[in-house]
Amino acid sequence: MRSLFVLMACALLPAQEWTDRAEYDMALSVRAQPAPQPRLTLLDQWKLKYPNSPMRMARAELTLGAAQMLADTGRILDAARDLIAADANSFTGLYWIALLAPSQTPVTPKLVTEAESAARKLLKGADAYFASAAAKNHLPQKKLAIAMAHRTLGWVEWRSNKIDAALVELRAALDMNPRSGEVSAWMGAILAADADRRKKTNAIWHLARASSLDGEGALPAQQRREVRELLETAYTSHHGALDGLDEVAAKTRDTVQPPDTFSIESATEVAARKADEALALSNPQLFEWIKIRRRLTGPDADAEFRKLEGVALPTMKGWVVRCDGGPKPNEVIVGVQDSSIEEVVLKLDVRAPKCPASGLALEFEALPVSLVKDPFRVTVGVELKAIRGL
Amino acid sequence: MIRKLLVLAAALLPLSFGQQQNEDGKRVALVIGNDNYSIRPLQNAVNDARSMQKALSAAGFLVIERENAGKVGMEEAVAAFLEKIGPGDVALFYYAGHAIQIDNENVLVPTDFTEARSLIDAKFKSFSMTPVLGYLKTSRAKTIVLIIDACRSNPVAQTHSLKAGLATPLEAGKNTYIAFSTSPNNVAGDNPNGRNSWFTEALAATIAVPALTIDDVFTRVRDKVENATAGKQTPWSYSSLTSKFYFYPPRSGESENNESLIAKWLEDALRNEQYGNWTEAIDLAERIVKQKPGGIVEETAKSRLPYLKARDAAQTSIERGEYAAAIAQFDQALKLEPFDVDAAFEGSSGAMLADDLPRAVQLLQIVRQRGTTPEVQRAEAILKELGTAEPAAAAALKGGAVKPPAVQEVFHTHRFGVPDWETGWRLVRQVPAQVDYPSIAKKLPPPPVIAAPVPVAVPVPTAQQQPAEPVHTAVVEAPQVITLDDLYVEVKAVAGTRDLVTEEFGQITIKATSKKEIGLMLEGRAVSRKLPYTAKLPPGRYEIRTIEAGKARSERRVEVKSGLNPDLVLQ
Repeated sequence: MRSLFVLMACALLPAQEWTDRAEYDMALSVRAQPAPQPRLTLLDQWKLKYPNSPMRMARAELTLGAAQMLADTGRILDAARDLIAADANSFTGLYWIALLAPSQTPVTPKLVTEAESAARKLLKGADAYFASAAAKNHLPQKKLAIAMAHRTLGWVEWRSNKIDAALVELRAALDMNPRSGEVSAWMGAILAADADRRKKTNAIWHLARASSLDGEGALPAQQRREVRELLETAYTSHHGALDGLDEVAAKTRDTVQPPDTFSIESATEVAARKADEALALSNPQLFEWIKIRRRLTGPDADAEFRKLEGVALPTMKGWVVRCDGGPKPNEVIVGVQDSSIEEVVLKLDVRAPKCPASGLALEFEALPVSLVKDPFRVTVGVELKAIRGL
Repeated sequence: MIRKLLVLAAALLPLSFGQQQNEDGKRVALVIGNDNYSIRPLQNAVNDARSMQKALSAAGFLVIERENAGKVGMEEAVAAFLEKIGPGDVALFYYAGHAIQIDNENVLVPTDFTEARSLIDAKFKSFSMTPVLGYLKTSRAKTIVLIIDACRSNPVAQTHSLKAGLATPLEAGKNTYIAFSTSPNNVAGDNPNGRNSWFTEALAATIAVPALTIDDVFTRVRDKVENATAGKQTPWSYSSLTSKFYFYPPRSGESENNESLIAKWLEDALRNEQYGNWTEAIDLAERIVKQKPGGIVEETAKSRLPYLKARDAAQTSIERGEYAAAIAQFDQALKLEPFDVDAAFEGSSGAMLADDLPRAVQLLQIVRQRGTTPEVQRAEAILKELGTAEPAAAAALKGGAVKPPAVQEVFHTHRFGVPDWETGWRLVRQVPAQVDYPSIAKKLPPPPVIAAPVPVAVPVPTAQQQPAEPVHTAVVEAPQVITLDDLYVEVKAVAGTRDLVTEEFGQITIKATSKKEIGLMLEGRAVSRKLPYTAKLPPGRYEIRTIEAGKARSERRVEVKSGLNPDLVLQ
C-alpha cells in the first residue's frame, strides 16, 4: 500500500497523450472559463465526449475545484468518486468522500460503506502521502486529515450502533484535533444515551464543550443551540436542575477530555446530601449514629468495625426494645433509629435490677465490642451507672 | 491610467472616520504598556502599546497612551479614560505588561511594583480590573472592549504560588468584549526575538483589515498566534455584545464574510482579464488578496497578479511604441502564463515591428504548441507568409505539427493531487452532518422523582413513659397537607434495609379490595386520600399496616426491589 501511495504522489498525473487535438481544445475551453458553473458544464461535455480519456483524473480534479467554488457537495462527491474510479487510492478522492459523507442526506448503507472505506484508506496511506513530494508542503494538514478520518469512522460506527468503537474513533479524532466542536458534540450525544453514570457525566462534559467552543472548529450557530438544549436536558436528567452547569461549561473550555476526577452530583445524591445536612442540623446525635451505621453496613464493614473497636462512640440515644439475661438482665437491646427495631445491644458491666420498660429512652456512652451484620446489630460495652434515663 | 489608479487606491483605503461617524458616540481607548519592571522586566510591552496606539488611532479612536506606568500613573490614566466616556461611546482598554490573578480577580502589575510580602500585599500594590469594569458598566458606553496582553510568566505569581495566567472574568457586564492573549490560567509568550508580542503583532495587523467584525478579528488573531507559537498559545475571548462591532466597518453592501461577493470579484477579475481590461482585473485581484478569504479564491487571485501586471505594462509599451520593451514584457507574461496565446501573437507582432523575425517565429511556434486548433491555423498562416523572409519560419512549418503540452501544464495553477483543505473545512461548517440532537434530547429520561425525605426515626412513645426529649425526624421538605380519615394504610421502611445512596428506585402499586376510601401514609407523611397509589421507593424492606381509629388492624412486610414490583393488594 505504501508503495502505491508513493507512486501516486510522485507521479500524480503521469504525462499522458491527449486522445486528439480536439480533446486538447476542449481542455483549453475549460481553462478559459473561470466561472465555476459554465466550467462544470464544459467539464461535463469533455467527460461525455471522452469518458475514458487518459486525462480523466485531472478532469475529475478540475471538476472538484469548480464544484468547490459552488459549494456543491453532491458534485464534489461525484468528482471524488470519479477520482477513485481512476485510482482507488487517490488521496484527494478519499479525502473528500470521508469529509463530506456525514453531511449527505439521505444516509444510505452504500454511503456509509463508502465513507468507511475512504476513511480507512486515508489512515493507512496518510504517512506515505504526506511524505510525498506533492504533499510535503502540507504537513500541518496531516493531523487534521487523520482527525477527520477518525471522525468519519466514528460516525460510521455510530450509524452502525457500535457505540464503543465509535467512541474510540471519536476520541482519536479529538486527540488529533481538539478544537472540533462537531466531534465533541457527537461524543456527547452518544454518551448521553448511555445509562452508565460515568458516561452520562462525560456526555455532559463533551456537550458543554461543543456548545461553548467558539471561533475555529466551533459548531454552526443552529447546531450549537441544539447541542446546548441537549446539554441542558442531559444535565437536568442527571442533576435534577441547571445549577452548576455554567461552571461545568467553563471547565471544558480549555480541556478536551473530562478529567478522571470529574463528577456531577446526581439528583438522588443532591437529595441525600440535603437530607443529611438537614438531619445534621436538626439531630446531630442521630446523624452521627447514621454515619457510623453506614460504615458498618457498607462493603468494608469488618474493616470499619476494626477501626471503631476500643474507641468510644459519640453519646447515643436509643429506645429499649427488650432485655436478655433473665429477670436481672445483663443485656439491654435498643433501637436508635427506630424504637421498635433492634440495633444496639448494651452489654452491661453489672446486671440491671430489672428490664427497663419497652420504649424507654436511654442515653449512654459506649465502646464497640462486636458486630453482627445480618440482622444488623452492634454490641457495645456500657457502664450501668452511666446510662441516663434508667 | 491615473484615474484608474485613484479608483483603485480609493477602494483599498482603510475606511476611517467617514464610516465611524455612522456610530452614535465617539471611540475612546486607553492603551498602557509596561516593560520597565524592577523584577523580571519585559521587552515588548511598550512596543505593543505603541503599535496599538497607531492601529487604534487609525481606526478613529481617541487614544490615551501610557508607557511604563506606576500604580498612581495607571490610576490617573484610567480616571482620564473613564472621564472621557459617555453614553453610546465605544470604550476600549488595552494593557500590555505583567498581570496576575489573585482569588479569581485579575490585577495588572504597575512598573513600581516591588516584591510583595503576601498575597494581600501583592493585591494592594497592583491594579485591580474589577473596579474598572464596574465603572465601564455604569458608563452607558455602547460597546466595551477590554484587551489584556499579559499572562506572561511573572515573578509575582511564582513567589506566591499563584495560578498562572489570568482568571475567567466573571464580572463582565452587557455589551462587553474581553480578549486575553492566551486562555485563562495559561501563560503567554513575550516573543523574545520580535519587536511585539505574538498576540499584539497579530492584533494590530488584523485590526487594519476592513469589514471584519471584532469576532472575526480575534478569530484571525487566534489562528495567527496559534500558528506562530506552534499551538502553545491560544488567545481567548468572551463576548456579550448584542450587535456587531467593526474597527473598520464594511462599505455599504460589502461584508468580509460575504464569500459570494469575493467569488464574484474573482469571476469579474478573470472576465476582465479575458477582455484585456488589465487595470480592472488588477484592481479586483488586489482587493481579493487584501480581504484574505483563504482557499482557492485567494490563491488564484494572488497567482494572477504578477501576470496581469506584466500584460498591463506590455500594453502600455505598445501604446508608446516601445516595442523592444513590449517584447520583454510579453515574454515575462508568457513565462508567468505560458498559455497566453494572445500574448504570443501580440509579442510576435511587436517582434515583427521591431524587425526581430526569429523572435517572432519563436513566439508563433509557442502558439502552434499551446493554442487552439483555429489559433494554430492562424499562426501557421503567418509563418507561411514569414517563410519568404525568414528561413526559420519555413523550417518550423516543415517540422510538422507540434504536440500539445501535458494537462498539468495546461492547468498549471491547479494544485493537482492535494485537496483544498481550507475549502473542505469551510464546507463542513456550511453543510454540517445531520444529527438530530432534539430527538436525542427527547429520549433522555426525565429527572428522577426523589421520594419524600425519609423520616429516619419514627419512635412510638410507650404508654408507660414519654421519651425524655421530643423525638427526632429529619424532614427536609414541608409535607403536603393531606388529612386522612380514620382508615388508612401506613408504609414504613424497616430501618437499615434500604440503600439510600444509589439512584435506583422500586415502583409498587398499593391497592385495596375494599371499596371504602382508604388513605395512604408513606414514611409518616400522608400522601393520598385513596388507593390505588403508586409509590417510587428506594429498594428495601417495608412494613405495611392498616390502621383504623389509631389501631393496627393488620400488618405485613414486603420487599421492594429495584424496578417494577408486583402490585400489593390489601384485603
